Amino acid sequence: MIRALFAILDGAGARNNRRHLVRITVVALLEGLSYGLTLPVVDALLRGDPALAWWLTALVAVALATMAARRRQITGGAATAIDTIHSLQRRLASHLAALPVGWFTPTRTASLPQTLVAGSIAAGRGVPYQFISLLGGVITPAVVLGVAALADWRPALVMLLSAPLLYAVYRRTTAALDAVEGRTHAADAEATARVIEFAEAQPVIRVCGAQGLGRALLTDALDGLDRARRLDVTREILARAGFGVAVHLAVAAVIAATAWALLREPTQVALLVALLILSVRFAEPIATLGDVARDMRAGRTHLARVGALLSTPPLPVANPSLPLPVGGLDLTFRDVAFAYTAPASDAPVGPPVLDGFDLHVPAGTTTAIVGPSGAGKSTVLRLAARFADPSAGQVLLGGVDVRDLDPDTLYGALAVTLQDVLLTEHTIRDNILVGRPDADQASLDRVAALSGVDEMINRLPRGWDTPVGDRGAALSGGERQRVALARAALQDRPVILLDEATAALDPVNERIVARWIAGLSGHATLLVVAHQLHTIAAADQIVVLGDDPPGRIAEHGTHDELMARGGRYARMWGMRTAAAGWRLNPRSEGARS
Amino acid sequence: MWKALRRAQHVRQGADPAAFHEIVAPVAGRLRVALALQVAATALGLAPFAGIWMIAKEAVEGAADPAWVWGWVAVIAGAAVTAFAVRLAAYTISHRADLAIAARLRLRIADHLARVPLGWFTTGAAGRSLDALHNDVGDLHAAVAHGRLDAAAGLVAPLLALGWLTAADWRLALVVAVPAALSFLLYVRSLSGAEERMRLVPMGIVAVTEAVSALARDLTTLRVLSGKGARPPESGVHAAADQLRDGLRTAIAEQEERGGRANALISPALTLALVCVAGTAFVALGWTEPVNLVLFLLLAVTVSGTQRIAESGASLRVAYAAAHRLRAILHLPTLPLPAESAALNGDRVELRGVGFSHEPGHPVLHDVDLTLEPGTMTALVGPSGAGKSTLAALVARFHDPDTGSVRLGGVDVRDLATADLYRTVGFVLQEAVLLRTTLRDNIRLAVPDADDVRVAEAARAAGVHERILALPRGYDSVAGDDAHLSGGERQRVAIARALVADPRVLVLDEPTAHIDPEAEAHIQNALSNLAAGRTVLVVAHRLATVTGADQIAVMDGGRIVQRGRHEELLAREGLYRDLWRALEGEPETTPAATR
Repeated sequence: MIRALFAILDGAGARNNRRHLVRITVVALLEGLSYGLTLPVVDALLRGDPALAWWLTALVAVALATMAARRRQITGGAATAIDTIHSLQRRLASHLAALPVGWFTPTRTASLPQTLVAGSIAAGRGVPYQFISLLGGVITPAVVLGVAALADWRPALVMLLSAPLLYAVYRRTTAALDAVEGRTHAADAEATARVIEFAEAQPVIRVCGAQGLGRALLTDALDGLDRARRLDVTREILARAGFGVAVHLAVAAVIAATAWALLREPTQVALLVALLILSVRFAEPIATLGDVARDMRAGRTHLARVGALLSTPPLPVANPSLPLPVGGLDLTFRDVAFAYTAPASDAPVGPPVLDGFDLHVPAGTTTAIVGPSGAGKSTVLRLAARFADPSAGQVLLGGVDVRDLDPDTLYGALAVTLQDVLLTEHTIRDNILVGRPDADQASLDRVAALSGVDEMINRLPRGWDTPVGDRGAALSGGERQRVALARAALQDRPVILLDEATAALDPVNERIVARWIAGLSGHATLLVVAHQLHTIAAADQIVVLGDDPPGRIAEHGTHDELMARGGRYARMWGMRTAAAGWRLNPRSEGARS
Repeated sequence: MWKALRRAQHVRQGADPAAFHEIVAPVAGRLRVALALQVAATALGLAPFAGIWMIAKEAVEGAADPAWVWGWVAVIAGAAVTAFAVRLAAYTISHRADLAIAARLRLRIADHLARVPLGWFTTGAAGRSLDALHNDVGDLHAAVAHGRLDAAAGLVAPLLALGWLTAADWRLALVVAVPAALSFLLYVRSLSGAEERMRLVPMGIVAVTEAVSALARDLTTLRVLSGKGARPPESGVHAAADQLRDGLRTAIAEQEERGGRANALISPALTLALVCVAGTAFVALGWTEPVNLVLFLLLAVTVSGTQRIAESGASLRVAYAAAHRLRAILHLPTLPLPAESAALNGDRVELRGVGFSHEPGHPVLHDVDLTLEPGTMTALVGPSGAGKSTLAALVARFHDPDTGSVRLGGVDVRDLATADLYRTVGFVLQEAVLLRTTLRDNIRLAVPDADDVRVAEAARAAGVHERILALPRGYDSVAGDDAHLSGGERQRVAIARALVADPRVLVLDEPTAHIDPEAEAHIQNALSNLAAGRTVLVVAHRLATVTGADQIAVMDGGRIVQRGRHEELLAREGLYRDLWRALEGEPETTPAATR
């Protein structure tokens, strides 16, 4: 554990913790020494030796020194723990902020708070609150043993012999517990997931019958957890029993050795009686080791997670960064390929999402990307926004590879409205203003009118100051998209990337998006992923991505050119205008299973 | 303090001893047995000290007889091991009691949730309460399995030791007892007085937890909004980490100030030095025999062990807070269920004078009358916020209306057993939920004994059979594990599930809301197959979806303002025609789809 801990500390943190290890060692040594000094005191007292006064003075002095050292150790320990927690949390946050956006999958995101909070606390507690028992459990008995050896070698020899024996028992029992811990952990995670599933899927489970499969999934998981926990408790009790009995027998052996010496050499009575007392002090710190083991095991798991997180490489940042040309910017994809990679390695997973993708969006023009879901439309935008880097080829902004731009330069040139770009601020006004904090009310009114936010402002009782709720939960999908569109318009950037939200596919929002695109075309370079063909019929260029093979351009041109061609786009257009969404005709098909 | 910090990750305000005792009531007897064993073990645990004392006393008085000495050595070894074994037995019983409580509690919660109105699950509250569930059950552990046993040991051992010392020499016992008592008082005071400040620590932890979630969630947004003057994405976590550090400093400064002094008073080194100095003085004054010092050196440290009582008090408080939150879940209002389910007469659905509000004073439905004739399709349309989804949810009994009634086959749905209601009424909602089990079981969820032929038939009608067969393990693929289905595909599995369940009344709440238009076209047939021959209530955003309905109810502001067939409504002045013109363009008299 100490290795796992120092692996995740920075220079200052490691220094602090090392300094604290010294403090703990000093206290443990002094404590052992004060225990040891009771031996000559008792010996002198029982024998009526005048040296008693000296020994007493020494004992009091060491006891006071122990207290002073402990005082320093307690304050130093608190400070070390707090600094370690604090600096590790800040470092982890900065590290997270530099990771590629693609790293944040739902599974990883869900465990992040736990990793960061529990991990930093485990790191903070490590030296000051776990090693204190561990070192105390080793150093203090060692000093006691040394003192005992000066008095009489026989009990000391028994103590010395019992040490490796106790250590072996300790290792064996903790190893046995480590082995079952993984299984209990898995059963625990499964049961928790099932309880949450049971609640989230409750409508489905209830409509399908309360006693059916849905409930069985939950009860099976709970039974599994119960079995694993029972096994865990049994093992833990047995392990504790093993170590505890070993410690008690070791003490009994020391006492027996002392008693034997006592019977053989009645002249040494005083010293040996003092040794009897000391044997109790020898055992006490060792017995606490059993308690520390469990705590340390949990700490080690947390530290390992932090270590893994810190070793995830961040998105590479250009050094030195190139400047962007002044004026309008064009956007070029040159022979771009992209495939998802496995979390552990860089090996691609599944077929490429994009392959040999070429596209030029001239400055100040509008290009739309359409195509079936899974064709890679959103990936094109994500690469342009550098949420991920292509596995081959280049994405060029104003002729500069986006990887050669520092983030401030890149995002200073882009306005981005993708599905996972959210509302983060409190009110509607704040969420729009965050695009350009110094904008005046006239500009706000202008973008509100362009994006359909004006209608919301008029309708909602608190108008501009309406809270958007957590992640915009108080607004509908269409309303959230309108606020995001207004924010992007206010940013007034040379390049705009827009991915229409599928959650906002009602006819009203469709019209607003079309109007917004029309309002901005010519002023900026627009790259739009569209789910509704109506919104982008006026684009300067329409790119149709195919799904067989995926990630290649099936056809491109203007709306009129593509319609005239009678290809895939024309078929999509025909289907869409005819169906205008789904239509429910219960009687048109008589099939009823 | 640090134990508290580790647990404090989930501690918020509110503690409830009554809730805790109610939860542990079923194992109260077992816990009492464990307590008795613990007291016995603690008393027996002092026997080795007695043994050492006996040997030492005899030796000092010069009468050490081998049989006597070895007899006591045997007692020491035997008592130590026996006391330890009895203590383990106590902890085994308390741990098993804890397991029984945890298992029981989880099941009780599941059973309770099965009776909470479905509407509760569709709000965010459900997620938050359940996230805490796991940790709350875990927080009970420290109190049930350890708390009282630790306290008992912390109380019994010092008292017995002190009694013994007092019997041996009351003056020297007083010297040992005074600092121990003082320390205990100081420690208790440090715990009680610091509570206000200690709260800063859990608050800081909650702040960091929330800031990290926000960072992960908002990173994309914050990154694209970066540029001159923008706040860096990590600033939220940095601020929260600073807050936690300040909270820890304040709480710990307080704790060190008071608890540190308490600790110092009973440190073993000081206690031993005190016994030696005072003992020597007493011997010099002739108040005590030198040999008595041996007994005091053996037991004085035990007298100072009272801190554990206060520490286990802290674990009890954590458990009380957890019990409080668990009870909140167990006390969620449930849907009243009839003693006996009434018999249905047909499957006409009638809503009469229905009013409903999510919050008192903000009604979302007013006096709604609507009849769904058997075998017909009724559509609810209207602007967003008109109350369409709420009305549909009442038919599926996600909530009960505040006024009026929802009747099925002439019977108020409140007079139907849950199973009887859902044998007749089924629904497909905006987002399909699949359980993490095989696709086969997902499809036959309502009819667990349905055979493969029936499952495949339903999947075919829902248009998802081919897709399932294309998976490496076909129908044995587990949703979410090795079957990663798109939103549209999941919705088709849900439709297949409804086909197997075969309810006579079907509620469809905009089942394509979260599906992109490409996938939407594929679902059209599946939905039409599902709707065929049933009594259907459908909520639609797009008016063209439901031009074929037998009845269209146009809602606005929680009321039905118009009703009729598409052609009739289009021919009349009113909201429907306005909506049609605004949303679908020019009036369309013949829907494109054939009827």
